[in-house]
Amino acid sequence: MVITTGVSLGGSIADGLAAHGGSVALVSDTAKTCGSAVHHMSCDFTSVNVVADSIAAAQSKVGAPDLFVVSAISPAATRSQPLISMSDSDWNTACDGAIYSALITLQAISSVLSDRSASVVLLGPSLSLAGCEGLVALSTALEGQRGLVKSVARQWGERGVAVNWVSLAAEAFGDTFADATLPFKMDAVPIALGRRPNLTDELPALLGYLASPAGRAVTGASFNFDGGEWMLP
Amino acid sequence: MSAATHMPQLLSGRTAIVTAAGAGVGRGVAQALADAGANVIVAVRRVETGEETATLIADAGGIARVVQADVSKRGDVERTVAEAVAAFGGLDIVVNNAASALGGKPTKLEDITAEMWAEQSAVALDAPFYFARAVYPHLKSSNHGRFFVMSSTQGLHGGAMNPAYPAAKNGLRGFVKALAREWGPDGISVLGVAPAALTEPAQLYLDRNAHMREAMMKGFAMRRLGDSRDDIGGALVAMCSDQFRYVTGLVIPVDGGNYTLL
Repeated sequence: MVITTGVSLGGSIADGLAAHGGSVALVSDTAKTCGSAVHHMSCDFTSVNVVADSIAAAQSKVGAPDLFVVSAISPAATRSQPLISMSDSDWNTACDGAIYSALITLQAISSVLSDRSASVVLLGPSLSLAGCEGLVALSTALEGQRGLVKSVARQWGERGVAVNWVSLAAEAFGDTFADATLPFKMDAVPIALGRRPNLTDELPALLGYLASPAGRAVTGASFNFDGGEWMLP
Repeated sequence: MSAATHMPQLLSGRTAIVTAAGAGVGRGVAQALADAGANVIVAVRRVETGEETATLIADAGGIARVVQADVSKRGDVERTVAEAVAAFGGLDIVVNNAASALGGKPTKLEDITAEMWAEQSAVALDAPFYFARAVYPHLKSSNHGRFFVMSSTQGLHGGAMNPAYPAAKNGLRGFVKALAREWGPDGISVLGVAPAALTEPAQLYLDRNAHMREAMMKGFAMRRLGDSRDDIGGALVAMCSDQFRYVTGLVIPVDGGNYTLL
């Protein structure tokens, strides 16, 4: 099940998972962006109960998911601007609100999981790992979500629920971050593989691994799915 | 007077704001910065705790001024900055130390309410945002601008006690990395500190769990928690010095070698 609020690749990820044989639902607050093989459910992410009801409704269509893919990125966080120019309301939406959306989505997943094991993956652009001028709120929100992932991984480990983070290159989000000034790397090989990973084939394979019995031995981890552009220390 | 931080010429003439400086790490940092010659604004919610800190600083020969402020409120932050500039003619150092007490309360993810998150994010995330906006022109003109946030190793390794706390503290890591890039051209260093200090609550915890003390201390390469003034404050003094001016965008554990996985 793919659950997204705000900016995301939800439709293409859901389509990719469906193309790999999954029974997939997309729960989102945006217009339907997925193909006919994916069941779409609208959700406004205003409360835990609203999200839980949407997940339960989607679950009734596609069955109990082995994998939840979550993305919570406010459009207000994607506009590149100096922090000192940012309004209070934009900050609250882009930063506090985005972390809170991820938090209530995890709470909603917990409520539908009961004692069943599963894999949960939160996903965002890798901009926050290196930091990017003009996108302080986005960096704060995404790193906040990554801290949340690690903590929840510890709390849910005994339940057999693995929680991980996957970072994608900013380009994976189309033109969303076109205005961002990405940090320059003084490397002869800026992307180790010399190419970006394929989101429709290779990303579902990674997600499928994380949902597999072997993958569930991995929790609280951060994966850079960018072909080796940024490498965590 | 602390031997570790008594370097009255090091930060002489510089002005610092330290939030939640009425106790614990905030008080220790305020004392250390004053020991090093800085004029210190002791920003506190409860004036009496700030006055205790200011008295300790004055008794050691330092200069401090107390400002009552709830840093989760933009107006209070802006007033604090205005009072600092009016009192000392400028501003060079900001230490965002305030945190909600809820962060230390063991809580399951499922039990975190909207109100709990609002309180924690208001202090941990919104206050640094308000300060950043208010202090930027002053730090830019300082030539020694330092903007600190107090993060936590719980944000780095994902402490299980209360997921809202690592979320807020690791959020500050993203804040530091991005703002450092934004303010670097102005010569302002933006740094995070992840401290492990022997605060009163930490001492109380150790006293109540004496049987675990030895095992807990084995998690620290130096086998002890840090002194708020000499160890945590001392590290911040060093980071405020000109010798540290080329370091920015990092969250630095000041924890006696507890968290070494970087």
